[in-house]
Amino acid sequence: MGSLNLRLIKDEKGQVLIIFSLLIATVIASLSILHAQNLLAGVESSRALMVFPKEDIRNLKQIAKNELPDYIVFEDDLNKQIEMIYALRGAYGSVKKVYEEYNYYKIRVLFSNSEVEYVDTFIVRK
Amino acid sequence: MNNKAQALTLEGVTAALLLLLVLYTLFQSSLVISPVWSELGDAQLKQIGYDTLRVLDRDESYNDSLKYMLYHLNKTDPEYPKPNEEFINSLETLLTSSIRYRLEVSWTNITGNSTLRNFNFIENLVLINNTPTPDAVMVSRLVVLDNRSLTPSSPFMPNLDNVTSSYPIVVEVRLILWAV
Amino acid sequence: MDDNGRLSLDMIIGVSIFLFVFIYVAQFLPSVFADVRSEISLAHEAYKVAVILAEDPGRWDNGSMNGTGWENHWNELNVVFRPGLAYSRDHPNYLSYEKIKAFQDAVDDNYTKVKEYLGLKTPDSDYEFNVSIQTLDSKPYRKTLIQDWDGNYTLNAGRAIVTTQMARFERIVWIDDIEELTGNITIDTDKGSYPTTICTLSGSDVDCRFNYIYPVNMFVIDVLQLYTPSPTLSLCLDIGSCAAGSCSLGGPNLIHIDGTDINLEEREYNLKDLINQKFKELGAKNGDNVCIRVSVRDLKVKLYQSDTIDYIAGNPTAKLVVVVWQ
Repeated sequence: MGSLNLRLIKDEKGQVLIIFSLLIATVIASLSILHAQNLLAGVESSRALMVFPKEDIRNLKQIAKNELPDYIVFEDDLNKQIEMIYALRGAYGSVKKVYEEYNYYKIRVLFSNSEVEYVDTFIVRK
Repeated sequence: MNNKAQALTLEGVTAALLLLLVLYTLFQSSLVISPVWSELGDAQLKQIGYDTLRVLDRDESYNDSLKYMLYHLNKTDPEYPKPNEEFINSLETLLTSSIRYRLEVSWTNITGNSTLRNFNFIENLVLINNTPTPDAVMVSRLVVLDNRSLTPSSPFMPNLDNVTSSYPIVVEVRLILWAV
Repeated sequence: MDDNGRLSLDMIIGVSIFLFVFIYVAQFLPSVFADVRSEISLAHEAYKVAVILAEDPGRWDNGSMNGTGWENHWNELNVVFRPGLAYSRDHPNYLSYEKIKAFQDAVDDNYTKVKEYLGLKTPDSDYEFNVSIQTLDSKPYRKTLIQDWDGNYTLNAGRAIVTTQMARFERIVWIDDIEELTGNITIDTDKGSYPTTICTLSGSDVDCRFNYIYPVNMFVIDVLQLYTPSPTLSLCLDIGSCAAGSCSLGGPNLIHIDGTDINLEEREYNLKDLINQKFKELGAKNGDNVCIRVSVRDLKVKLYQSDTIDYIAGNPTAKLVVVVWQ
């Protein structure tokens, strides 16, 4: 029995087989990682287009252009309400008047969430 | 006993086991990701939601607009807080029958007078109460209402004394959408 | 071990099988990755084209002049343009009818050039596209396109869709210039003017007939002016073909719709929901032919009606569908 074991251990036939199987296993593992990265690349860029707050920013700009001139006396109240509602979602938004002339306002729109920060200043006619 | 080819068989078995073990580990782990098209489905649903809210956010003279619906929410109405019929019809026409939805609104609770106002907390109201699936998406839009156009029994009415000019009330309309 | 300089048969067979399989898999794998890649990027191309068309007014440039009115300049010399259907930057999803028609003409004229301007044809890749405006309830397996009042499709540009892997993105849009889609149906009893193809004069009243498929998509009456002595409007609803005779007019200063009366004022009435409800009570089923007979007395009204486009919150609303494939 002991001599059988010794012979088996000293036997080097079939080591090539094991080495090749190890090689194949490595190739399979690396290819599947590559495939997964491929899919991940698609997932990440899909996520990017979903995550950018294009519509929120547009909403703020539209409020600045159409609604703020009507409520300019209560500009701070409007901003406080917007801030509180956006705070629930982990974002910050505001529409503030920075300058006023007799025929126009200069309004700054600010939006910030964990990934995006947006500042825009524009003129709204009275 | 004939000991020829014993070692090779053992190695062969080991090699096969090694490969099977590797494959099993790979398939069990999260390296194999779910299909990418589900992400696009979400992006499409979200965009439809935003487009729907934008189309409905028109002047309150149209009886299926968001503002008309919000102005006509009345606590004394027996069907409160259900939105008006025309709004629901337009919303369902835009979303089509293959998308289910849940409609909620949020606004700030305001107390005070003409010199000082306090913004205490956020109030929520569920207008259409359906239960979403786990893969639902949420879209929202801010609408600004004028407190002078609110009925006294409107849920958005702030508790203000002595404010005579038009006061803005910001309402967030939230639409949660999922496909069936 | 055999040192005689002969390779064992087993070894040769084993190694050759292994090499054969290895080379086959190495050839096969890049196409698997390419398929997945192209599927990912197809979706992004569709989204990008949908955004360019629905949210951007476009731009044209000929080196010395430029502007956003590309619909007037796209076929001039030396002009490069970015097609966009929106009315202006501030109003995304609000499409201009002229730009829609110009886009259709541009694609019919030179499909490849428009593909380049949309970013679909680059040195690395070449995609095909199809852009159409469909009804809100149009499905991929049952496409219903929006039609102009003269029966032509409003927008159906690009190649015909093939049955291969494609990506599709939809946007909800609304279109200005409602009369291009519904036709100009103005009835003025004072001047005796009415569209002669659908209406007839009986005495001083005007009778019109409209044929539809239930449910009706849009039926809006804009009352522009009330004349004296008794301005009245009546609607009669028939299932099947139109009944003979005109709709009987009821009392003045009212709109009569099959038993329901509404006060007649100078404003816009969106009667779609009421009419569909009445048809449902009369027993109409989806797909039935129905008829609406309208009688007008002492009024100036405009009718907006369509079998395809919907009227939501004051605007004709439809769906812009972009399909991209390789």
